[in-house]
Amino acid sequence: MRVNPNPLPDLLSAIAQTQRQINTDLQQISSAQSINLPSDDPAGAAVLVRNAAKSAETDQFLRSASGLSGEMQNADSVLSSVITILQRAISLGTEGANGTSNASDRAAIATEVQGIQSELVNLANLSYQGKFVFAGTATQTAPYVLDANSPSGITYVGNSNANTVTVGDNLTVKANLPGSQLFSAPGSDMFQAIQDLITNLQGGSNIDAAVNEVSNAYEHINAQRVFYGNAINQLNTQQTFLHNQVTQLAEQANTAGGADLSRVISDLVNAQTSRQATLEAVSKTQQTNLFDYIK
Amino acid sequence: MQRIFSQGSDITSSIVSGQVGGLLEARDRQIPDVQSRLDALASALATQINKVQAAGFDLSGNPGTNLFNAPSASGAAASVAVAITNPSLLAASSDGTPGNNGNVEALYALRNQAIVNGETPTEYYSNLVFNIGSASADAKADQSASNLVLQRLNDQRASVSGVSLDEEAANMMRYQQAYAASAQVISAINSMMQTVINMKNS
Repeated sequence: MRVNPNPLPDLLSAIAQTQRQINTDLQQISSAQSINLPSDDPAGAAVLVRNAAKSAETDQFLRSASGLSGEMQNADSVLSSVITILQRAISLGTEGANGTSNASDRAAIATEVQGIQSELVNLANLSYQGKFVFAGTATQTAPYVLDANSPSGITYVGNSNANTVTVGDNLTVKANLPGSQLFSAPGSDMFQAIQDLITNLQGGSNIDAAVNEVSNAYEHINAQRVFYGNAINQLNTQQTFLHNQVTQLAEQANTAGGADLSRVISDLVNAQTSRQATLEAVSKTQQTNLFDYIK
Repeated sequence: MQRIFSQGSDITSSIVSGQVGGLLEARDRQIPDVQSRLDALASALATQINKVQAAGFDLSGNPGTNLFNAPSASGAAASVAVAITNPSLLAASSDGTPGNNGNVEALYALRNQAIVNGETPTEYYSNLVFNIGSASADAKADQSASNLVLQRLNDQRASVSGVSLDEEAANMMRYQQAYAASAQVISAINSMMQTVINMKNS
């Protein structure tokens, strides 16, 4: 059978093919990605898009969780201070109720309790990153203000709402307890109790009842504080989970779109060898024909 | 957009093959298709976000205004832009109190809602990327397949009509030999004629 006497175009096209392979390999090596264009692997590229979206979302969950956790730790430590101070108020009250204290002792104790009162107002007006933590969602103004018209001497100007924050795919956590539920809950109003204690210490009667009120408030706050402890634990667990998820997503992205360097490099070496060999073969074979042998 | 005319009539749409046909296909069909899908994504996102924004209240307690310029009917992806410059205009609150984050949660929930042609924005976009990649990969595969066919055809044609130097050399030798042989015949006849002529003369 007669064969194509001029195979050069075929050989050139083979060389071009090898060159294309070399370019692709070089691109994969330099970017460390096996997918540099969607057409390299359409399904893989789509997976990478979803992966990137999921990663960004997980990062955001992490930021929300760590921010919220910071705020809650702050609130929790304030509640712990409030509890210590209330304990001090209870022991002062008990001391005042003791039959051995006289009127001037009680006046001195009442002054000390007044100091406690303003300390408590300060604590309840805790602000974290520019917002008042115990004001419900009215976070731009201090929730507890001195008010001579109020029976407790202090008015709550916050609201009783709470925010929820999304920190996971199907996980939202309540972000705050409003002051109206913590410090000035009906029946266990801390400020009312302290005010009563001051009044009764000054008046010298019913001090025991006022001490009881304070310990009611103390118990109530102690019980409510569990919310923050639980939420902080939950957020910590969630952060660990999210960190794991970030690692997993990075692994997935690498599986879907990372270049397998050892394979790409061996491909590259093969392609280069093949190209070199083709070039040499072309330069050798085209030299002789029958004319060279005539005569 | 450039059109192609022949003797006064527009023949752009009748060019369906060749390099020009391919370029026209990309310019008039593929690229506008991708653009319109990007526009649909941008437009749906902007519209939905504006809608949620309008349902909430900004830091001062006023109802939320548009976060994005209202998207135009076409070219939404190219023209979409943030309309506010003051971050306190973000309608984060769902009840008007400054610390409430209810509307932010609503904005955030959009990510899992089927707001673009029945798909979530991420799904829609990843499908778009898949389609572009697959169209481009298809075209490349078609091209290399056609190239192979072309090569084989060229090969076949050349195997019939290509000029082989060896063959030509062999033919030349053959003709040269025939020529030499004919010359010999003529020379033999000539010499015979000479003999005959000489016979007459002697």
